[in-house]
Amino acid sequence: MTVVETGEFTVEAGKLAEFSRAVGADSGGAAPTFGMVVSAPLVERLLDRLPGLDRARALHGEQGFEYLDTIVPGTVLRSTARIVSDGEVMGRRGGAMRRIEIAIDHANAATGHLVLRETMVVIEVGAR
Amino acid sequence: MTEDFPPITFGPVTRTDLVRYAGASGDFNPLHHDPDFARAAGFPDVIAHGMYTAGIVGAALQRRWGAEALRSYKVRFRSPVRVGDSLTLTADAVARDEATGLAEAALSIRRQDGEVVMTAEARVFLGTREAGA
Repeated sequence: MTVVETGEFTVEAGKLAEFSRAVGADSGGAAPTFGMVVSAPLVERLLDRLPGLDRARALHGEQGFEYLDTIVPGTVLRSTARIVSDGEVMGRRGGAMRRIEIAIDHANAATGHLVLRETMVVIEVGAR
Repeated sequence: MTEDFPPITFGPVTRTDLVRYAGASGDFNPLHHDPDFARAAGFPDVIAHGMYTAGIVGAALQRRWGAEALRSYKVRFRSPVRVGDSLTLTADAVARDEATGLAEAALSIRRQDGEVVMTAEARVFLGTREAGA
């Protein structure tokens, strides 16, 4: 499985503050889930390239963040999203579901060091 | 060593909260702002972005423990959050390792009817007693 999307994103003070306000975080730094601003469009493009996925039945099941360094105004993130696994699992109610696990690594483009790792699980539920 | 964790309450969630989150995050899935779309998808009204709930809970943890304290944060979405819902965040356990100053918290977020809408795990650096934390 080698589906990968990469992108660069310059973190602006105004975007950090706007996101913090939307989740009730103190302004100044990055709110804990700010990485989604960068990763969500990458993941959108990744999922668009997955064969046979009905986006209308795709749900966000899980999301994880591992914080390795701070994100501040002016930080340029070089981010890579990739499919880790894509397969069928049994749901809680017994039906088969497609489970797609995605990993997103955000590096500081200036230093190359990782600042944030995300994991995401997308579930495609059965047709209603 | 187990730490106290007084519950934190949120809401009620408003449409404006969801529109503000859509704009800030860039997630414009109409399920979160268009009632007609939400009804066609089988919901009585719009539902919150999962990441809206994860976002307000993450921000509350950051406020409680400090801006730099969070080491990891992981959530699992269990049930939709609707407009008008009030949410309560509780910790099942916050166990601190005295040697490393790290604590692991298992968290639950419930609607006013008691249904768990999201569970979460957080690793946080609380410092050691010797350091005066």
